[in-house]
Amino acid sequence: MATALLTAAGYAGGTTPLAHPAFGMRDPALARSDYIENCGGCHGVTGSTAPALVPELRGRVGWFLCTPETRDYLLRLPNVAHSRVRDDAQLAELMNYVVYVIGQPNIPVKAQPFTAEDVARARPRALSSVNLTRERARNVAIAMKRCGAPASLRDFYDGQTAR
Amino acid sequence: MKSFSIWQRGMVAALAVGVAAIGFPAQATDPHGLEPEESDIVTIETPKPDWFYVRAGWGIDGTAIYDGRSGKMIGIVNSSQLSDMAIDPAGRFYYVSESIWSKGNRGARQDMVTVYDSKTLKLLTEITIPDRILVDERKQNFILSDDGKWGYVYSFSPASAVNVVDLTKRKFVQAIELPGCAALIPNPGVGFSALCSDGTMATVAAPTGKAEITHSAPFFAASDDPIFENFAYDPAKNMAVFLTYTGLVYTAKMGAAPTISQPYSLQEAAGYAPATTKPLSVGWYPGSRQPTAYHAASGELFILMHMGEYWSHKAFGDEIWVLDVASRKVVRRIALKEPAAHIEVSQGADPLIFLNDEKSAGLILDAKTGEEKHRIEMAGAGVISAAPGL
Ligand code: HEC
Repeated sequence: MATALLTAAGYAGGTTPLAHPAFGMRDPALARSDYIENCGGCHGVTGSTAPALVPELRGRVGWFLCTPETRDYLLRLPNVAHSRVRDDAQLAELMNYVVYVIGQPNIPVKAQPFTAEDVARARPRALSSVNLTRERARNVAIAMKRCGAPASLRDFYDGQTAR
Repeated sequence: MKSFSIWQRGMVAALAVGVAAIGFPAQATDPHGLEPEESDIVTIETPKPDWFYVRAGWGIDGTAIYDGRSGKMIGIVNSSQLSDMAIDPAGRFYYVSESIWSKGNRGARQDMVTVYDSKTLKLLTEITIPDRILVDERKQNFILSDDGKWGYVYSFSPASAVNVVDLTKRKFVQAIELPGCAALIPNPGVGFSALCSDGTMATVAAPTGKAEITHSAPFFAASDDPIFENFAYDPAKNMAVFLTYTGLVYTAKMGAAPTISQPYSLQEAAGYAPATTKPLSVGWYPGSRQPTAYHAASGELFILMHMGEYWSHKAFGDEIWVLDVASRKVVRRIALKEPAAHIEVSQGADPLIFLNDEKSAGLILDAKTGEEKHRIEMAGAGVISAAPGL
């Protein structure tokens, strides 16, 4: 696992990504460029945005991988479910890039990559008539209780409350 | 440099007042031919149907008020860089929703709706709100209810939400989260609506209380053929008019469950083949920063058009197409000598068109004939609003 993670780390660092079926990315270069094009404007090209009021993805987003409900939360975010990436498999690869590459090293060991079917099921149930702040808090509580996520995940970035 | 002229004018006025105040005795003839000015305080009228409000442009404060009939500037509403202005339907106030920092470019962030008296342009009060979106000059980010009692300020901090403001009590009421939606549409008697990334229209009923959100069926493709956020609203018909990047026209009868029409093609309305999203297919497309203006009494939509292909929606307009929305016909085309970035039309019986470009060149045309009425140097390079139909 450790070597695999190191390989994945290379993608974020900018070296030529290698295909990695274990992380659900047949075309990691496309997954990364899709992320940069569709998400990077708000979340930063490396998933780091602190201290802006956008959740820091780097080293944190992987915590949500561990329960069906928190996984679903990621796919049902309006910016994800309504993404311009219309192909479900392609969006699943984008999201695998987000959790496995940007999210490391904090990735639950037994987590399964997202599939096109996961994306297809989540899309019609986008979180578009709810309070997203509350929905996030609820999912963070699950990740803390069930997956050992740190309390700092409640914030948008480590040390936010202290500021 | 040039675009600072609104301020420069302000400085000149202030200097003139200063000189008069120092107290040179009013001489009948000044050796230099100068006429002494008296310092006084004037009030202006409440908004008139021929008035336009022109933002100075990106990075420059101030919204200049012009009388379109005379082409003369009347005053400036103090609007900061990150702000949107809305006009009280009864004409008593100008409201500016804005974000400023205590030390200019740093310090404590402050978000508010600032209230100005429309006759004196003096600050009346500031209504503190939690946050708003940090962009400016987008009309659909700040709308008022038809009775002028409520203000809806779009926020994106951190997620899409709308701040509801009680303009009578001058108090913030609540923030309503509206994930995946933006661009606010008036919806009298119900609340407000907004366009969403899944191609639906969201309607928020009872926004000052329970705030119930419903969605229409998806009707447009937000990622393939988006709707310009500069859409129109017709108060008498309670109808919104939308235009997409390829020129599809939708109308929506507003209400608790808005009914949205089948679209038709603007290009077809002018006798051409409908435009498409296909690359390298060149034709007339709508575009610019503020591409549409709507004259409610005649039901005419004025659209800035250019020759281009799909995704050229930021190109400035070389022609104005006048679409009779109900009869689905382009009834007039007005060729422009210089490409225009923003268009607005006054709401009176003899409507006027106000155009400007990024160099602040303002142009006023007769909206029926296209005849040039006034050219205004340094008019402002930003978004234009018209006084509400009073
Ligand atoms: C317009 C800006 C914007 C874009 C574009 C955007 N996001 Fe977000 N994203 C946000 C904001 C703001 C939040 C926080 C919402 C909240 O919960 O209050 C967020 C939340 C998230 C979260 C939840 C993280 C957490 O800690 O709760 C994930 C994951 C995410 N976005 C992924 C993506 C992906 C993947 C894309 C591209 C497909 C994307 N976003 C595009 C602004 C954006």
